[in-house]
Amino acid sequence: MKYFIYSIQSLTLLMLTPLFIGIIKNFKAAIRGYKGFSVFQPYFDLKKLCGKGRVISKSSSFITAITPILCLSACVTVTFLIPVFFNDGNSYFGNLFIIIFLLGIVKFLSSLLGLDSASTFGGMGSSRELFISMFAEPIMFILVAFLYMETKTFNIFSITLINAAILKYNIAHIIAAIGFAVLIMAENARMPVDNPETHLELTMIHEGMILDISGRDLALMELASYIKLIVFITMFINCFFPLGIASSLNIVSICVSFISYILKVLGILVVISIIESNMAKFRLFRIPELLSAAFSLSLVAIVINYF
Amino acid sequence: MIEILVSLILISGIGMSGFRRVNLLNRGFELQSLAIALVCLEKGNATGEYHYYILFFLTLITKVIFIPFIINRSIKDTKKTRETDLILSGHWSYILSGISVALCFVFLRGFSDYLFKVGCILIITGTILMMGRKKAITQMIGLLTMENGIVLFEISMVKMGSIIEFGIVFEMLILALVMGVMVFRINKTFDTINTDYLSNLKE
Amino acid sequence: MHDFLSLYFVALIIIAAVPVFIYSLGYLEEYKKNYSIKYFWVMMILFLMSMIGVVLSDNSISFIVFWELMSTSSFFLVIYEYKKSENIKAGIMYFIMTHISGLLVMIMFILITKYTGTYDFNTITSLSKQLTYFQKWIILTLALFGFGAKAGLVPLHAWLPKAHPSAPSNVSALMSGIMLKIAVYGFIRTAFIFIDNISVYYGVIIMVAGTVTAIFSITNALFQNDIKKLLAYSSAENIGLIFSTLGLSLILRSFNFDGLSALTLTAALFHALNHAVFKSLLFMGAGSVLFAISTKNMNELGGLYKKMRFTGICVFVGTAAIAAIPPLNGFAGEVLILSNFIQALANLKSPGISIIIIFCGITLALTSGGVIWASVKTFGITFLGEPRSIKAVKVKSIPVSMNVGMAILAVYTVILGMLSPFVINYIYKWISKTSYINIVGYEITIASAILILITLLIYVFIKTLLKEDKVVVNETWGCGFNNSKPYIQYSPEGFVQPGLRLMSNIVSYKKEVKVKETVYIRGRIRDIIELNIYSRIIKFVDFVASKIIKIHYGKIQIYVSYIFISLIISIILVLKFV
Repeated sequence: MKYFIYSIQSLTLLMLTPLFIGIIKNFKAAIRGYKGFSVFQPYFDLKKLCGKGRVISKSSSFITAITPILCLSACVTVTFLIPVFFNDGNSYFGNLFIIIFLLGIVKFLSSLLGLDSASTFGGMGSSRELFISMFAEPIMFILVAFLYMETKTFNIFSITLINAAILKYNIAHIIAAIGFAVLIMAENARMPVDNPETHLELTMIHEGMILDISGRDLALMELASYIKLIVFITMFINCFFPLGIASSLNIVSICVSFISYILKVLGILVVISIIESNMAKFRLFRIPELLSAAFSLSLVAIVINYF
Repeated sequence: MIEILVSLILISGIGMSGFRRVNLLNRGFELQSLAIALVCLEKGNATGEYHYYILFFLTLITKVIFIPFIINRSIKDTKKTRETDLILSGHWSYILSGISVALCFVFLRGFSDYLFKVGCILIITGTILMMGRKKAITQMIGLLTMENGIVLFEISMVKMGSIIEFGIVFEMLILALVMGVMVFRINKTFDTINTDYLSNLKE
Repeated sequence: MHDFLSLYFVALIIIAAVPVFIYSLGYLEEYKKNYSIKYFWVMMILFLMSMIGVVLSDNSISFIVFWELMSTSSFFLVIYEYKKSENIKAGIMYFIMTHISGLLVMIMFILITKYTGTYDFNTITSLSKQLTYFQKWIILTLALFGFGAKAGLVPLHAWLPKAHPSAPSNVSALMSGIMLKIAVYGFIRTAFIFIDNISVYYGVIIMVAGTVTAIFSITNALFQNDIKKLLAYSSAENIGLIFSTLGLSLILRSFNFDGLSALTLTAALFHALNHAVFKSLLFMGAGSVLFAISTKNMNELGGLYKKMRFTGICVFVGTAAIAAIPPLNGFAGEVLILSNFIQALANLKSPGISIIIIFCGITLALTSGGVIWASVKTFGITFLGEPRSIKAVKVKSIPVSMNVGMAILAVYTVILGMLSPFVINYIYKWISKTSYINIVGYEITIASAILILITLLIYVFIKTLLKEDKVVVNETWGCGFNNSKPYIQYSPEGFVQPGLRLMSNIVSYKKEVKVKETVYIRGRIRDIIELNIYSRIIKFVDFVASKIIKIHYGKIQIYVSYIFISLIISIILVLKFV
């Protein structure tokens, strides 16, 4: 029975993802002072892209054929392996390392996709993406080590269960949360690391790699990157601030935890919109400085907890 | 509540060691002093002694309102808002301050009060800020950060005397005034406040 | 020796060597005109038999005999293409370094015999408690330098990027995949089985040496333009990872965490097997490229997938395996190693050692990020895009046996990845001699199964529900740029240029721009250890040799008298001191 609820909660997350992205765009429009489109617009965009025909470059190979399907399936698989608003603690799946490496499939395959079409923008997007992710790996390692040292387990369901009982957060927890927030921005191509709205050469890292695909492939890749962002936000909420998550199967606690989950996600989306509207993108060689600041913070978090 | 404030102090301490714009350093210093003032207020509520309330008001007036105002004025007068070449480059200063914070926690692990450790950390961060920069304004902000650390030291001790911190606060106030005026003067005479060129004074 | 360790390494040798032999049947067509094929096969079989002999030997004398046979036959294989002079120079450097390692290993075994009085491995193991502290340190230091020189630890690694590109590709696959693991076997045999109760500091030294090797090698690997040199540096990085894990296992054992120490040793052995499988696959892929086009420089390659489809897919599987992509075997090994570092950190209580373990773990995470970059560069620039020069347009067709050899290893990669919990539990059961079978949960198998199921579901969903599929093949769009030529693609040096700007001191990168009738740009990188340390040692040896050369008078009577005098001196020494 509880596996049924796990599947239901993952499907709910998949259904709600374009709605969350529409909410971000609406918040940004409200901050900038114009009336944006409706919050359901990403659903219509994806449907429109699926109906269009595809143009494939003549220099491309099997990478263009398999990348969109594999990226989307990796992201959907991760959705089925994390807790959203119901958590009963199982140990059959949900190892943190497996989740992180599954999300690394998307990075690997889209870098190859950028080199596939023999254009300059693709190579540029690939090389910058791999440069940034090389410096983001140590931060990921330290944060997983921090979570293990707090809760003595690698399984994300158990981490959520143990952290849900804490009412007063200590210093190390808050500092590690800030480090994880910077990591979300770096891995998902958000400001100030990359601008998700433009297609200009100077500002694109993620968009550069998917420049030469169109139609149905583009719909799958866009959906995969939306799901990746929402999965990272869900992991952030459930590992660091999971207060209020349901652990038993009655209706009242599930409703309460669903509402508190939606409120927390909306809060984080507001913060993302404010950051995106107020900051400019950093120069490429300033990004290792940002990542080394996040690295120092995470190192401080582990040391405070350890000693 | 104290935990959030202490983590804010730590974050601003590490973050300030790599910033280049003097405006941002100013804001970071303001945030840090505000957090320290609120820590004093919390401790005052917890123990009830009037020393803490006096310290809260003093810190608020001098370090949150007055000194940043002076620094702002001198930035606007000399029009130098950015520091382009640093002695310690950007990512190395973050990593160095992170490692020194970690080592500080390792060596001081016998003490149970974390305000003492955070005080030590602010002193070390202020030293890194002073040593790794060339412009006089950032060096002064480093000195002020060190003084914040000394204030935190005092709060963490059990018996506190008001005389000490009155003395320190007044000294810092006068230092800020003098520095503000002097920076303006130095800039007018030499057209630069970069300390490299000040070695020309030898001959 | 009928130990689990020996049998495991024999299995590793056979798993990796059989596909390479099948591959060689087709690859040697290229050499039929100029060189002798019979000589090649004799040397290959001798090489393989001597490696199996090293692993199975159970006393010191046979170990050393087979070791020397392995070194000599691999030297003859490295200089197989003797008509090019740089191959002979690389071969001579390899010969010197491998004999230095053989000498140190020989001295180590002689000292072991002197201290315990026996040659047999089983007896040495049971007598190891009699060794004093000082004796253990000497044996272990000689083991580190001797086996480390053969495996390629920094600073004794300089022969790796010279010997592997010069050898024919199937020999590089055997050397890089299997011979480096024989050195790891020798080290494990000495440090884990012969000697008990090692101090903590030795484990720390091994771990730091492995980590420094890893980060130094991957930094040099990123900036190479030659495929085989890049793969050679990447082998050195993986060997550094294995040694780092072995150091962690030694540290845990000296703190008496026996279960965790056995799990870490299992992780190192499993990673050795994975590396043998996917590195052989990658070297065979590089060999196919060389066979088809006869150039190794990545600046001239590109777009090879269209002409070599099957090879492209196999090399893609190998690249995904080395970059730790689920559900392949590199991913399973990497997860086990990193989770062991974190578990060790949580259980140890001494602060100094914990700080060193944190920093080693961080550096290993950084190198795994660098490995993804290097592997995407290798596969992407060689096989994808458009050909960058006229050489890459005309491609020879590849014989079937080469494809079959690569396909076998690609299938092994997938199987070892998905069934990895079973393999790891099996190894752990034999190493720790307990019957606790489920040390690693079956999460990897479940997650891989879910991944494949969802991929199939999405594929079926797309094919049935979105039926209108108009596909048009056209030129690359590239923001509307019409005049695309092959040279507007990213070059291999440009692909790693952000890293080059940050790390140009470590690889001593120099760029030179000349403007004559057009603009000439030239850039080169050097290995800084070879540049600074090796050239100074060679100059010193040259200087000493030029002074000693004065005793050569050219008359034969003087030489005979020298031999007679040294014979008398050695007889006196033997009689007095032994």
